[in-house]
Amino acid sequence: MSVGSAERVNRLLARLFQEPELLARLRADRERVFEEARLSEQECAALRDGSFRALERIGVHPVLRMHYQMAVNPDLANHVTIRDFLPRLRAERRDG
Amino acid sequence: MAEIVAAVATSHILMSPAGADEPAARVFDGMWRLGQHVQAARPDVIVVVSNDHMFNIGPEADAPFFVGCAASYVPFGEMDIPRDEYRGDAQFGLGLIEHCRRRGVAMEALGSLRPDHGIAVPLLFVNPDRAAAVVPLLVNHSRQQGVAAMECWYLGQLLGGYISAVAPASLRVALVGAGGLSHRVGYETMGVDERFDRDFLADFERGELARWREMSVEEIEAVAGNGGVEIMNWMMIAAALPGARASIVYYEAMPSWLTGMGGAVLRPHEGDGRSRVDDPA
Repeated sequence: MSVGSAERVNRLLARLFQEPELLARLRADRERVFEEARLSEQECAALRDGSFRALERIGVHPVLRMHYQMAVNPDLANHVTIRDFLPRLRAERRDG
Repeated sequence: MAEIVAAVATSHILMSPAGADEPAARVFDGMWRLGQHVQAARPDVIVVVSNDHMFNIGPEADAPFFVGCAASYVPFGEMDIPRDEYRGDAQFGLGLIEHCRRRGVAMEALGSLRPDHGIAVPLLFVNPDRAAAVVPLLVNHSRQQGVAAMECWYLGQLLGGYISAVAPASLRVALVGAGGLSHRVGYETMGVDERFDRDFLADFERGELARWREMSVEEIEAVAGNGGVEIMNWMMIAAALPGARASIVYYEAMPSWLTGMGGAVLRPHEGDGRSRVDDPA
């Protein structure tokens, strides 16, 4: 899993899930967040595109590409969850 | 001397079972069986060998290994993982770091950590009542140059030696190697390589891991994807238990989860009779 050269973008994306307020602002007004992070136009365009390929082109770390998709793609966030297994985990624990 | 009373290896993710209910149920069953195996051994401490997915350890971190040395851990909580608190064992973690540093392994202590799914999902199965203390041992697969399989193997040997020779007597230790199998994170062509997975599992069961620990990061990634390097987390617990006999408990290719899902038990006392681990240094 190699780190790309786009340090500023990587640092921004690494903060998304560590700072709930930043994540909320990204979802509400991503252009403002891009501007505050002083991203280049090329970086902004790649983030607007959001595809793995576009993120790869600007050097986003593969794991952080996944973070970004989880942040902006509700379908993916609804798929990558253990939510459906929690009732059974609770039941198994209860039954020993 | 302390004793390794149980050891399991397992994939460390679950996703929505939609469209794959039966294989997903088999994965859950397999993970639960692994969990029961660990629970039955009544460990005092569970060492989980896994990796952080950049929820705690950022792209700038360069150390190959990190060890949790906190008094307690609350999961990061991504993927709707419950934020239930686990006890830590800081003394065990600090002792392990000192033991390994003296033998030339670069490790960093984490005084605080919010374990992500790499640690927290296995804990839901192996430590559901949170009775055992937890020691996270994280391999920094996300750093630019990765971590060589041979380095992981050596650290696994040191881990076994630390438990045998240094950790407090009468301590009952369980090992969990968490991650894999084949998967690609962050690429358009995310997918599972079932042949890779089954080859690795067969060799893991036979205890024939020499060719795997000699593979480079690039060689593993080329076949099994950048997430496939997590098989090193499995190899570390095998290295900690020379002579143990492995049994595969479950495998599902799980294309909808983009991950080859597998799990195994290692039985320390059913191999060649050697449960004590000699210090390689």
